[in-house]
Amino acid sequence: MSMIISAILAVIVFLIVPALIGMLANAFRRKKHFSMALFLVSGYGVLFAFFELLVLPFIYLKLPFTLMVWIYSIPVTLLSLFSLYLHRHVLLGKLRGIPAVLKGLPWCAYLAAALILLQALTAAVRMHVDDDDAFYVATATTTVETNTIFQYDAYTGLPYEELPSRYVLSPFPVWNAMMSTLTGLHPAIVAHTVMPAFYIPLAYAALFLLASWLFEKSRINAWLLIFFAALIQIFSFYSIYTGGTFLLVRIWQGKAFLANVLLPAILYFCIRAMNQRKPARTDWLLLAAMLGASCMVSSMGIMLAPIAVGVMGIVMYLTHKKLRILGYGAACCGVNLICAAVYILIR
Amino acid sequence: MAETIRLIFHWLTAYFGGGLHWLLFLASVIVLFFLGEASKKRQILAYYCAGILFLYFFPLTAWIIMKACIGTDTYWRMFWLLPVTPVIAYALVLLVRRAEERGAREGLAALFACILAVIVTGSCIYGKGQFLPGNRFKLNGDMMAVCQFLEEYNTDEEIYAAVPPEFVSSIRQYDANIKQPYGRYGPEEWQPLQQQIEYVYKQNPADFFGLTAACKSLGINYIIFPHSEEASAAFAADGYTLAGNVGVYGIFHNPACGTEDDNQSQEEI
Repeated sequence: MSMIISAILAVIVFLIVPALIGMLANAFRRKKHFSMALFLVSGYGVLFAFFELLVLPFIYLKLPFTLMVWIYSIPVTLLSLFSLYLHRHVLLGKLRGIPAVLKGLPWCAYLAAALILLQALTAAVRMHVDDDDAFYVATATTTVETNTIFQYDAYTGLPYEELPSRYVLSPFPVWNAMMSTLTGLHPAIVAHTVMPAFYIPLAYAALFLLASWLFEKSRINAWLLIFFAALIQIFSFYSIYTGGTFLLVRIWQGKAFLANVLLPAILYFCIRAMNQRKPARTDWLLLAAMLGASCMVSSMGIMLAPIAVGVMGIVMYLTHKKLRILGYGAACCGVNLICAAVYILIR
Repeated sequence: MAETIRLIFHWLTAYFGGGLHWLLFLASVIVLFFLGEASKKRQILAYYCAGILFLYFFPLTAWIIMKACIGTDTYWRMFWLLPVTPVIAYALVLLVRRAEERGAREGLAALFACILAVIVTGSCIYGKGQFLPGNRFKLNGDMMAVCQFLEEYNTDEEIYAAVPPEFVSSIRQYDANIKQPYGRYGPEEWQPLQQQIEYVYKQNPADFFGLTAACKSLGINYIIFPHSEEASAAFAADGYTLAGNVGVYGIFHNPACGTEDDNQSQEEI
């Protein structure tokens, strides 16, 4: 019984809440577009960026973990309920229209969905031993057991003499600890089973955004791209370093999430914000949220995400000849620049 | 500079060397640049890839990124910025659609050719290092049984345990109440006593006295060690009595360790 309740809670916190937050984040755009992939990816971006800004003071002030969970949960719950209320008619209409949408999907959509489902199920059901979990999962377990954040060494359980500079700005394991608290599941179960089941499809949602941009007028082509992408990921074990390897064997680690969800999403949101004559402020804010999220998941994200924005900014500047693009792009990297400065100071 | 160039190619080979997806990727970028009418979207994607490749290969930018941003050992993560998967997939869709313009049969043939190309040039991830777990935590079952024993047996003390190497990375993933003298990273990062403990676990025959001496000095009150009569006798002689057996492991307890009296006696020694 408790497992069923935990499973329902997992669906709420991993799927429904990010989708509702994403809907709210996109609600203020003039150009309305209903895309569950867009809502989910932007929802995660906003939640992770908010989490980053919330957790860092808790770490430095040594405040209790459970207090942080409350302070995170209350506004997120209220905003989700507000979004649900705001979009109730749209959501009801879309829910009723699901059978028709499924009927109208092209053949390659079913093939792509089957491959993605296979990947998510395999990752959730089978196991892979990864020594990096000695830090990532053990930090989550330590956080839950001690009700502290980054005060005890995850490897030994002894108090930290100094904060682990490499990880302290990217508290993705604390997110795992919070998900564990909210679902009532052990952090090892959340990491090894629940996260792959949700994050692997999420990675394809991020790719679907790019595919939809590339094939704006052809859904069938966008789905065919996703089918090929899913196939490529399965056959990307030509080294242990590839994004595909990280996606399919250890997506519960922040760096894997960065490589497979956030970096493709940042590329999409860069294009969305920069490739318009009059970009909406929401687009820039969502790009900034994605960059904040990249800091939250991995210290590598603090550095890599601005490189992506910088290169895309230059490409777009050369295309549109508008200096504003570079200025706004740099401003979106604000959280990353602050984190990079702090990292240099504390390492 | 020579070292930077060496690293650039070292990580290139390490990342892409095991397959030919890099060839598919390069071909795809060329397709984006030159196939059919120039589309703005295609150009944006292609120029972005060219920009990232430039940053990766140009020694000065590579040196800056290695030294100031992401580090030398993780320079391969620059390839995560390259949208390898979507670019290859995009080019394959364009090729299939172009073939389809000539006829449905050609389109189908192109689709199968593309699938075959991905399979032949890559390496399947499944069947390599993944297996069915013995429990829902997906952790070492023996380690979990030892933790459960410790939690039931031990009621009022902090558990500070020396554990076998196969438990070091996983024990605190399961139970963060258990402390251990060292973690995952290698002996060179540890203090001499921790190194001594790790050394004894790998020694054959084991120096039990060396292990107990190091454990006592660190205030470790539990030793988890493969069970044998010899180990039991040696540990008991030094104050670590057998609390129980779990699988092949014996759990040895010294209630005096970690207390102030014990620390005082260690200082006297």
